[in-house]
Amino acid sequence: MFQFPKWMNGLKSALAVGLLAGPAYAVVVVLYGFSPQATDVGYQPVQPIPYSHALHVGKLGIDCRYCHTTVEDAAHAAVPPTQTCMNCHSQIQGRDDRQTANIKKIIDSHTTGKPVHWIRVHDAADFVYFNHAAHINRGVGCVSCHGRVDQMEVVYQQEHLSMQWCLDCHRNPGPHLRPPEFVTKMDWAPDRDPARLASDLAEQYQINPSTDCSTCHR
Amino acid sequence: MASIVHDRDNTIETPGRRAPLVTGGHDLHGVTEVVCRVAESRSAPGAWYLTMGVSAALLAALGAMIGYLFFEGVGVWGLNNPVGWGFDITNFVFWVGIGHAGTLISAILYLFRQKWRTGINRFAEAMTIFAVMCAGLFPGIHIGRVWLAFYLFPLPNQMAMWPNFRSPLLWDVFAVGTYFTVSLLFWYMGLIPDLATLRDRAKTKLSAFLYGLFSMGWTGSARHWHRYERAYLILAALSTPLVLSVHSVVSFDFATSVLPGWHTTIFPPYFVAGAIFSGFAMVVMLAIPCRALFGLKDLITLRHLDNMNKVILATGLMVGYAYTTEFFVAWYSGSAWELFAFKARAMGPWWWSYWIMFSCNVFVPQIFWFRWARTSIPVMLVVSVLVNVGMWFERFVIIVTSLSTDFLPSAWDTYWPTWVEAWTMAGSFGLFFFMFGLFCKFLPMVAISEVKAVLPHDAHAGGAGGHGH
Amino acid sequence: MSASTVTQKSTAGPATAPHTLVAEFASADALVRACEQVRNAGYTRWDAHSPYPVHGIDRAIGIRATRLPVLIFLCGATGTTIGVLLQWWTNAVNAGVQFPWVPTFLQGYNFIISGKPYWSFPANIPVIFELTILLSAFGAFFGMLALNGLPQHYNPLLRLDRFRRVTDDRFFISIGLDDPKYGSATRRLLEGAGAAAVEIADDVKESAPPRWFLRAHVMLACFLLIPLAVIAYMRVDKQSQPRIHIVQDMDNQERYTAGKQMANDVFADGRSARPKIAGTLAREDFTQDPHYYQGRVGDQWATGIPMYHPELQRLAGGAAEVNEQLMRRGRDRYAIFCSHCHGLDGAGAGRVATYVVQREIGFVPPKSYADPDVLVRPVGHLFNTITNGIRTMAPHGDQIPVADRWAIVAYVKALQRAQAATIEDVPTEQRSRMTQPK
Repeated sequence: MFQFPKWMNGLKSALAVGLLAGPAYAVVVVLYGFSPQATDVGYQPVQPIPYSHALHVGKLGIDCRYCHTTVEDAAHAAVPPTQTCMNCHSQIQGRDDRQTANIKKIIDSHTTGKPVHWIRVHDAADFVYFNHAAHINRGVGCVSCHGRVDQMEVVYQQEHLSMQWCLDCHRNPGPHLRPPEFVTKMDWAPDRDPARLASDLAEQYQINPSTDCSTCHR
Repeated sequence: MASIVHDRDNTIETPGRRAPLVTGGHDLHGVTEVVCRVAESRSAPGAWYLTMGVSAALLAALGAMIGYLFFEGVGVWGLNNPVGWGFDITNFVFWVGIGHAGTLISAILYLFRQKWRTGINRFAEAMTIFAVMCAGLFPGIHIGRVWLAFYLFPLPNQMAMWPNFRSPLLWDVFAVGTYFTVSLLFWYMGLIPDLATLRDRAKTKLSAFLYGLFSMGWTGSARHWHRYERAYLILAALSTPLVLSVHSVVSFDFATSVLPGWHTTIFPPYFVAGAIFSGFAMVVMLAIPCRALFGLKDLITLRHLDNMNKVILATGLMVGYAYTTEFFVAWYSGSAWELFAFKARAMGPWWWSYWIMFSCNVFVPQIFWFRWARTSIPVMLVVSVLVNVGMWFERFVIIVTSLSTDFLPSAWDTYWPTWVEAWTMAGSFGLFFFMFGLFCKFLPMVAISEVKAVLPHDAHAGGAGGHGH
Repeated sequence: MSASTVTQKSTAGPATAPHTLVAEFASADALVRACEQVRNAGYTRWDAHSPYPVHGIDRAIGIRATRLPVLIFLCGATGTTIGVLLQWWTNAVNAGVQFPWVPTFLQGYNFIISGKPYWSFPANIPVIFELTILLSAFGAFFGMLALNGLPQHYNPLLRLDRFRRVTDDRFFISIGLDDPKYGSATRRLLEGAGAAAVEIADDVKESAPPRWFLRAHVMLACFLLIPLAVIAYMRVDKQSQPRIHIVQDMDNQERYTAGKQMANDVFADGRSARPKIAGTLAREDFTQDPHYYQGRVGDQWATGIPMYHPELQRLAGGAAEVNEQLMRRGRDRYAIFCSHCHGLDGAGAGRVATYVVQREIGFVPPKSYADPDVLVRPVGHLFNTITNGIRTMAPHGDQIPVADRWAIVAYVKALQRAQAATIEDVPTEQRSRMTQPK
């Protein structure tokens, strides 16, 4: 009749290791694999027109708010209408065929009245209330959430926009504060002791972010 | 061999004659034979196949209903506002309550040195585990978005959120989770020596491997037995307050709210008594066919059933007392809402469910004052079924009547289960009986080593009767 | 696969060696008496085996009370501690503020639920209790296994057919051949003590896991690396497809939001913001205040900033005249909406203008504000230019609110003034700084 082999007794320690390592492995997979850092960060949709933020913002120095006009007044940062593109591109039509072809899409949109279907990159969950104006006017720079857009040829999601990520800043806003006049300045760096500046700004603008449920889920 | 009373009626005990716990004159080997026969035979009674067939079909229905629920959402149930708990929580409380008898038998009776527990503790514990599985199912699926059930546990997550430990619903998670885990450990620990018995008698390689794997190389060593018995005793001591806490915590789900009919301090003891009441009824209900079908009448004797019927009578009286006290306090408190809630229970739209509950739980068990009823198989079968029906309705009455008519008449609404809820409930019985059927067939239904320890086999080792320990 | 098939590969079957002497007894009583004799003979490496715990055997063998209860108590105390700390940490501590060095996903979060206190001990008792019981039970079960050296699936005793009855109805004493006292007298001792039979159990000498067993585990380990590699890739990769959400939940709700860049099915062109219908006027177009909205007074361009308008006064901090605050606002807005073409100084050499002119893409650069044609334009004309554009400059009225346009106009006038500035314009006390070499 069946007998267990002697080497099975030696598996006891292996079993103990497995019992500890198995859950640890599961934790690692779930924590790192299911985290928005793995699933959400790096979303870089192909836009209908290859608009380059690196060129328009980085090289030409156009302010974020020239196009995203509502960001200081509204919850939502507007995506510009074709008219905004046409402010310049009615004259500038490209140097080579590729540029001309792309700019022609804007002109077509303008003449036909059919909007360009820009694809949204940063999209917090629908049950989250986020207000751009509240953050911009209190001195949270664009770069804190959107990354160095001025260096992105094609915009991608750099931050994970998870609840934990929101809480990180709501609990400790200091490192993300700057004088509000510099919010759109992508390469801004504090010119004095960052901790002092942070506490001064927090006091000046009465920054005491709430972590109540209803702050974001309303 | 000690003198053994060979008659089957071992329910009468006189000072001069200790009634035996095992009838039929079995010695050590006889006990092994009787129990192992079931697992070792290649076939099973026809009734077993029938039970497994029906319960497998119900289990499939349960799977289908849960799948449908996942797919469509809780809207497929009849729940509404204000009746946000219906069949789901009724079944949850019902099944958790059923489980309590198993722990009571295995732990509390063990601490009280009630040797008659050895005949029934194994399958009562199995019943506990399967009942708690059925119970755990319902809160799991009633949360609506089932895939978020992990929110119940304090796991680090991307939301940096933790459960609210100040809520009795979370206490429930810990109480039922601990209860299930500890019951499983207790049950499995008891099984180890008996699995070794099956291993040593195995006729096929597969059974030698499986029983051998789970008996973990048990050799009945005295040094092992020493630590084993100590661990078993301590587990019993731990399970005793645990089992009392579980239904207390379940009752807090209701009692800590402000709803009339729920917000009472009598709930914890009342729930625990009710749980033991229904659990013992379930044990009797299961024991009767099992002992007949699998030839265990010598180990699960009339005396065992008689004792359990006494417990049913006692706890039934406690439950009846609680029902009366609730009414008295509703009147005596001077709270108009409280009084209304109880009037609504007895005379409102669900008056029939209240009176099913009351008659099944309070009137029916009174028959057990008579010895002939306690030792009559048909009577106890009917009573145990009725008690389970009554206890199911008790939870239904508590949940639905209170929710449907709360403080604000404009918010009142009625509740009626949908076919999905009905089939889910039927399916939970399918799950229970399917698991229990598997257990009956493949695992030792009676704790072999424990019965051997109370056998009056070795007169010179420990004296006659129950003193063999 | 079983041991027998493994060992069949070797030439002479499993190599074995005598290991344990096993004596069988018919009753528990005989066992207890034999145990007393073995103990008295001074044996140390031996044990008794029985189908159920035999009363009095502990004393007969000389088994000391187990330390298991101590272990269980320690486990229970650990459970209590975990219960207290867990609830305190997760519900009562604002760890992000008090312990900012803790990773966010492990930080406590003291949110308020129905006004309950963060740390309310009565409400925390049930969970503390359950965890105490749970860990004690783990201690009892796993402690029992560990102290007993279980699981021990292979045991030389189990190789004996006779020994199988240990779980049925027979009682055994086993004495290891490595017991210092073991000798020829041992067998006699046991037989004298009433053993029904005495036999020696053999031990398998060598035993190694079969190759397939090891290989399977190496393969399993390799398979387990695949998810880790995928995760590592996911965290550095950029993907053009929408983010993966295993469970969509309510992340993307079926409602119309402008922010989603959704097409609106109601209108054929998909736009929800409707263009003006031909022949109609917007409220803004129909106004009794042409000065503020259009920069006109009667038939003429307005020559003054309409500071009477509350919106402009708001930008000026409540003042009814052009002041520094309004000028700063104008400078801000100018920087955002004008400077990339007109340049920060208004000379017409902004970065866009310079870039396109250098590349000869066919762009007419803007005139300098100091241009005599521009200098003479009244403010109403400048306002109209921002709103509706002029020549190749596009209208910016849709991008800039009315009051901001006036603020820009005020700032442009200041820029123009600055272009024609002399040393006389600098306050006397600061003139010396202007003339000093840097």
